[in-house]
Amino acid sequence: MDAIRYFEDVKENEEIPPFELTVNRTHIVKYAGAGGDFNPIHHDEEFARSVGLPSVFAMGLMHGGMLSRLLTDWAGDGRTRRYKIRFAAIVWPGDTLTFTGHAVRKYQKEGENLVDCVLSVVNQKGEEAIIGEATVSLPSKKSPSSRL
Amino acid sequence: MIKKELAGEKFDEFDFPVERGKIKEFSKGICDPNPIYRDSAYAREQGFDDVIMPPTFPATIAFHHPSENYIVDNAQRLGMDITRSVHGESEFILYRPVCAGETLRAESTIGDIYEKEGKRGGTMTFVEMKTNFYDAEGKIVIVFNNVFIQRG
Repeated sequence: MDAIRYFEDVKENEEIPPFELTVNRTHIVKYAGAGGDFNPIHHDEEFARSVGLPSVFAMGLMHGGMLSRLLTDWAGDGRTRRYKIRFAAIVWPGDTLTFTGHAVRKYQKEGENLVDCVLSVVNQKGEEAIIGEATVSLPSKKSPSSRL
Repeated sequence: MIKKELAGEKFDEFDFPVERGKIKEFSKGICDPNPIYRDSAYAREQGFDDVIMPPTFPATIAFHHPSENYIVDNAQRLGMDITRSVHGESEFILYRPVCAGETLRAESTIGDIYEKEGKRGGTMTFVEMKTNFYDAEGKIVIVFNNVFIQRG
């Protein structure tokens, strides 16, 4: 994060810069170790096939965690107050995901300058894998030191 | 069978030390190269005491839980079948940024356990779990809510 994003600069319905990522098994294994989810359905191909699945699949919090970068790169570090993600479709190795978001509402509450955002992760077929919403607290030009 | 009698019950309580190395590893796991998660000097320049937790970092509770395989063991304790279950949603309420060096206390409770008819037939069972994180002063700093779903 370089430039600070001030509350006054945010426009309602402003697009948050998107990015894309193609998921591979290394992403899944790396997140399993980092996050601590060792459900074999996410890393053991033979186990996944034995229960009728075509392959292992990603834990939702993997791409759910990747999606947080979209928000924090835009809003700044330590600004997230609420981050809610609903896992709507399974993400398989080889899926190309597009991470997007918009600011939808800005308002002041209890001395904080808040912005509600909607977030989304969509696969290459246009299916929504994550439906997300978040609230960030931004500094104001009037009181740039407003609490982190 | 899902143990519906666990609804509303306290499930777990354990310490959650927030560690620099784990934050760095987690930032790599979510492909986020932001130095605020990796470089203590940079984090201090930004006004923090040390590197900070990414928003979804509370998901690493598995690492500090006494269990060897948190997800699989918890599913068993709840009577859930991991081959028919999915993660429905996660919500993180973050009262303030948390930096490496703090030790939080994590307390999990089971919320509601309820059933709904699935769109393609069959009953789906929803299990809610709430984990509150308290700081050294006993103030709540994070709430991590989850919903797990088992297909019929």
